[in-house]
Amino acid sequence: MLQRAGAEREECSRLFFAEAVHSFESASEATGTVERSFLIADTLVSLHFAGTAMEGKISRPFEHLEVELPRYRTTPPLPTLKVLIWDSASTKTPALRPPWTKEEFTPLGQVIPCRSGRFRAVYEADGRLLSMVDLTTNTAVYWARDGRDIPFHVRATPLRAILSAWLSSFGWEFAHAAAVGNRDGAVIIAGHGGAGKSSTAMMCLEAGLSYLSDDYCLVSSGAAPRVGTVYSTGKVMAADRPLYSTLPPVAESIYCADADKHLFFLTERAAGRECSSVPLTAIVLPRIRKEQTRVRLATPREAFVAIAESSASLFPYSPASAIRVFGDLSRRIPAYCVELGPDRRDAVRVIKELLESQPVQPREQL
Amino acid sequence: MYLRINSPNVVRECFDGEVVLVNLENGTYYSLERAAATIWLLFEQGLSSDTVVTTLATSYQVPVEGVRRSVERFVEELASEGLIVRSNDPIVIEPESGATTPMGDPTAQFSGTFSEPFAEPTIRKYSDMQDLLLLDPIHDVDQSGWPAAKQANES
Repeated sequence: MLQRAGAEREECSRLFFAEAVHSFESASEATGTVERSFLIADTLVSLHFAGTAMEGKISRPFEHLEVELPRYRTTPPLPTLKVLIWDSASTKTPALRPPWTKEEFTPLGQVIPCRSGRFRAVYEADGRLLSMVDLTTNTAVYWARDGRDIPFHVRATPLRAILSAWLSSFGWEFAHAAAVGNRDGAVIIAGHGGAGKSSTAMMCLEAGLSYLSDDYCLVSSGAAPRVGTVYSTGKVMAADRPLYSTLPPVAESIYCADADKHLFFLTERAAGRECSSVPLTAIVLPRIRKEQTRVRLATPREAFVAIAESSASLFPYSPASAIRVFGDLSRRIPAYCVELGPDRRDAVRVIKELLESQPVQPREQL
Repeated sequence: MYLRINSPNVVRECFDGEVVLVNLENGTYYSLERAAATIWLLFEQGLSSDTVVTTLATSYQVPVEGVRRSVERFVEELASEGLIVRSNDPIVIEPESGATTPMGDPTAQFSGTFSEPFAEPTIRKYSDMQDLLLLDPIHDVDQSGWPAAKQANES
């Protein structure tokens, strides 16, 4: 494995980042720039698109958090991340070439020299997407070889690597969990794919609860643990679509044949920027069972493993700090194993009960 | 001999006397309970191997030599899993690692005796996260040097 000194590695990354910014500027000169801004976890995330090819693929999941600049102002100004987004195919700009060797990528595409210090970088091979953040200048680049190749899962939760690196420095971590609640608080629903996160979240939305996420949400510990929304998207199995009367028309969704799922953009229904984060009141660990639904208190360790396990795919982005937040939340927030029987509406009843009767309190007081 | 957690590759969380270690390099996590958790916490607080052994022998009221063999085996297993780094010097507390925290006189917490008998320290290993992490490993790089996605028909 090629070993490089820390300073040399950072200089190499700095030069590459400067080259990437220059490439964006070239693309932008050729195709024009579209700028859109979003209020995410009390920070401003400003997306600059070269041309429109990527804008349609990336911006929709954030629209529930959109703000109009310069009309939207705060005092003092919010921390702001500028993200430069383009693809080579539509802008007819040369593809970026990595300065890193094959050995400097982890199996999930994390760039090893950029795991700490000034830069973070991840290459997603399935969509041929590079995410790179300069934490010193609060600037990021998001480059795709061809915007038409962006996969379904990225359409649902774009910019995750960049936002993860950015928001981690403000105490927010991505958790692979659904989140639903009301203005006073929300629960997160953690578990493996297929455990019932999305369907439970969609049923709660149908039942009138506030919707923060069906797949990835933000969590923070600190004095008052909170949960926040990033994406308004919701995924529904094609066969289950008739169960939900309040979803937008299928024609407005994106269909993934491989998963037989529709991706809906719930811009009007998701928690907007007025309550984009609320107190975290409980952790729900769904399990599917054949008998009647039952609920039991889960141990902190069960909660931790469930959140950490299902968030494993996030580890390349901010692993150690995420693990610490998950551990802290698991010790402080009551967790429940909800063993779901055949009637899935039971999950909604249980979550409503938790929200109504569950002020934030230490586990030992339960 | 002193030990420190192999940070930043390994992080740990404690739950009701259980120590959970997560190896972020490969997604494997480990559970240490009872004597294993106690030994881990003693090492984490900067005690030397000799002090850990004598503290345990006193607290559990068992012969020193038996405890020494158990601790050595345990340390060997931790090392083989890549969870620790051995050192001849006292460990330096690394605040950014979040893994070690000065807690006053560490032996004070273990100066009493344990009601349960000393049991061989063991490590329980779980690979559930590893399965998730390695779902789609990168096999190679393409012509421009970027990692290439695993093809669907590759095993």
